[in-house]
Amino acid sequence: MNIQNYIDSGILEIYVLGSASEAETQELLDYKEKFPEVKQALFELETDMERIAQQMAIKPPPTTWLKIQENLNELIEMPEPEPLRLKQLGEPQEPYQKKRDQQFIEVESESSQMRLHKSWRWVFAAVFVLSKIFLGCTIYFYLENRQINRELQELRTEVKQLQSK
Amino acid sequence: MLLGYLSEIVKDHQKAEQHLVSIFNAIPQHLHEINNTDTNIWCQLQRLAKKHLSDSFVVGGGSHLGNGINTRQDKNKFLDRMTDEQQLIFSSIYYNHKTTLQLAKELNKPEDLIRTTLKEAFAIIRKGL
Repeated sequence: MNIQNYIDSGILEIYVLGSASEAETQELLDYKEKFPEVKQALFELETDMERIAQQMAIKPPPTTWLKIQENLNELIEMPEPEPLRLKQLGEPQEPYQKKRDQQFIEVESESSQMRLHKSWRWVFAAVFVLSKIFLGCTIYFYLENRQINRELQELRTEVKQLQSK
Repeated sequence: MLLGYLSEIVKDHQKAEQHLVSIFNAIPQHLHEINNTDTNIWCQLQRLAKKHLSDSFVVGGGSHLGNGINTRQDKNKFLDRMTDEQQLIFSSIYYNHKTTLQLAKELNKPEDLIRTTLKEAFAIIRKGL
């Protein structure tokens, strides 16, 4: 087979545009390994495609990256779940020979951490804000009460003075 | 780059953004394929996008693809230099995911001619660099 004819057939262009059939793709990948001309032609076409895409590029808004990053972080941070382990119970026994209260499998997990859904952070934030509001109210009413007590005390003193006169 | 490509396909900036996020979120599932090949990373992303879009459109029950006419011609110096036919063929394959066989039937032309026109379009792109 003349490899130059193959390159000129336009199959490489179809491949880089993602429109080649599976059979054509497989054939092309085989030729790419065997013939450096095909590899070079493909490399040049892929570079052309990249240039076209650069011409049409639109800068994504910063929020887009945050959305992607959030998902990626979840993938990175999510620990592998601890496998549940069956506790060794010594000599195996026939299940029907056990007493009723012993007919349970003991399950033990080593993980001491608790995982919560992200929506809980808003609940925690609300609890925090509410606690601050209650604290503020408590201080306010305490000061208010102290002031009223003082005024009451003064009034009592005045009344006593008036009575003594 | 991918957002520009997606915008051109779905003709809606917000939808394109949503697809962009979905495609990037799907990349970890395709890391094995991406790492095991020496293909240009943009071409791989483009293929991933095509797969994602065709899956989405099948699920959505309809085609969101355009008619092959590029709406941002004034912004692309490469497409500007092509003839209408070259541009139609290039855009139909690149953006609208049509095969050369489909195009040949639609345009009532031999498939070889479609391939030749596509090759000419690439020659124009290279000349325009």
